[in-house]
Amino acid sequence: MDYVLKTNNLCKYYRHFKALNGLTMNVPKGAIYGFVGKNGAGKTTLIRLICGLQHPTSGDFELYGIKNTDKTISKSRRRMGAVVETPSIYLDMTAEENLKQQCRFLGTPSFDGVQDLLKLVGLENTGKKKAKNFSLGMKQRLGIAVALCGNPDFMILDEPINGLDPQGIIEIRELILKINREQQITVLISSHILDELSRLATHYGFIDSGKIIKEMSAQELEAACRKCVRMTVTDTKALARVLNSMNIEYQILDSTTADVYAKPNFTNLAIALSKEKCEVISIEEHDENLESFYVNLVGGANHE
Amino acid sequence: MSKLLRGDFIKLFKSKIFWLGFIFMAGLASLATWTKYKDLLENPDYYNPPDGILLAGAMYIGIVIAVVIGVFIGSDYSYGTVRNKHIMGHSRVAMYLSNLIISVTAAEIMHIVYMAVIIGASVAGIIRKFEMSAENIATLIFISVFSVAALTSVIVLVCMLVSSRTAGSISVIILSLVLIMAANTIYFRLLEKEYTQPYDYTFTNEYGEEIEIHKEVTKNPKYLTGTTRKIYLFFNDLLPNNQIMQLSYDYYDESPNHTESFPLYSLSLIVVTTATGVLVFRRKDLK
Repeated sequence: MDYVLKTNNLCKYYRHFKALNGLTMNVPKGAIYGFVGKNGAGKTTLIRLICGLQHPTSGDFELYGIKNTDKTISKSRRRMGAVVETPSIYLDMTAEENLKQQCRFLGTPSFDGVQDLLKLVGLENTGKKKAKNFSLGMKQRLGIAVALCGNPDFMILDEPINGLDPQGIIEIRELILKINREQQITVLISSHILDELSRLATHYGFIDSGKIIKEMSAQELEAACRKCVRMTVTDTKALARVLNSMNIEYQILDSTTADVYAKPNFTNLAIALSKEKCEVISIEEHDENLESFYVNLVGGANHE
Repeated sequence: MSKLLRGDFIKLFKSKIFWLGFIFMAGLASLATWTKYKDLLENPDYYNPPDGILLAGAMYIGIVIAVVIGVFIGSDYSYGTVRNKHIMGHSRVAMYLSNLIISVTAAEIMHIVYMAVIIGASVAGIIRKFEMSAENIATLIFISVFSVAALTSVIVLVCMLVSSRTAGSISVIILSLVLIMAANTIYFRLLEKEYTQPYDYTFTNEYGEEIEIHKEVTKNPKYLTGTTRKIYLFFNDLLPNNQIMQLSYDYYDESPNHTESFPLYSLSLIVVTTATGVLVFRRKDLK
């Protein structure tokens, strides 16, 4: 698999505070990578390091295969666009002027793509309105348009839906999906609004206390969060034999626990297991969403 | 860096604060010209050349530069656009140097417009002709351009290292005021004579008695000597405001001075502040 970004044991310390503590993660090409973590977990710090706004205390990362210590890292950063924390736009300029200014800094020979970009983010009719008079959602979309100016292959969006109204959230979501699907731009999106992330992400990285505690694809997460019956038995081998004979989908978790992805007739199942000399100890319905999965992952009540 | 310069020059010439600074300096020069013109009308026989006001604006230009550059560079921090520049691949050295070049240009334009108004008024005959020769005026302008560039490099250093528009602007305005005060203190302290002049003074007291006072030559306690004097002399030549002060007060008096060395001092200050700024800015966290 091709990776746009690979980090290796990244650390960032602020005196004695460890903002990042050996973070290792991999962002596959073409993915929408949901970077999940509570406030202060280290999401923005990582993004700042990748963007070169801060320097790591130790560890390294590769952007398009180029190490951060390599002098050519700035060249690989040109393939990247980012909106870090707040949208970086000139508030005393119009949307069009902002994009033109970005084009000048990039050295783009013409402003041909500016109108298309404004259209893409739905700001083509803002005319002479200054960015300071935009709504938060419009500013956020303009920030994304500015980041898209250099035709990047990789976009980093730090909490892009924070503070937006429902309409604004929908617009940003549609925009992210559009740039990912239509322009094949890999997106790294950090958020703690899990429900929203689950509508977008193809991959997830869960961060806590400056470390990635789990990295998985959306399919793996879906499987982990799938509605099922969690059975505790004395012998999962026997359970597997019985479930196979009944043509029921399942997943063995350990020697005594298994998830059964159906609601079988438990009387028949118990009788069949009894014949295999396997006792049923407990049966409970198991239903996780991204939120409960995350809470379980980072330690439940301590992190709520 | 040419891309940064192109973008930032367009931003500068579109910024209201720069044009306000420009208009302020032109206005200040017009006010000085008008004062001279009024003097000419009221006292047509009194010879009052404009030599003394040519660099008067430069003495206080630091405050105007501080406001303009503080807002110009500070807005990059407050809008977060400084991050964009770095993310799109511009090195921190290029970002620093670009801001320095833009700021020096802005400062020199404001400095030159002030002098242009004064010289223009003199050439047009609105005020008296300069006592100095055209060559001396050109030399004075040449040296002062370096002084203003050095002053700007100090202001840019502070603005680039303080990541807040408000804090940065306030810091550089205070710094400009401190430099003006330091210039006055150093310059006038160095003017103190080593010995007080002897004098005789007679007056009549309340009883009608005539009192005679005879003051001998005494050593002036305010006169600086030794290392302290050397330090004062060094800063008098190094600090841009002191240079401007010396150019204003001493140059056309043809009193002994060494103004020809000022550009070297200014260049040294520019090199030191820029090297320091680049070194610190390279390691700075851009939040």
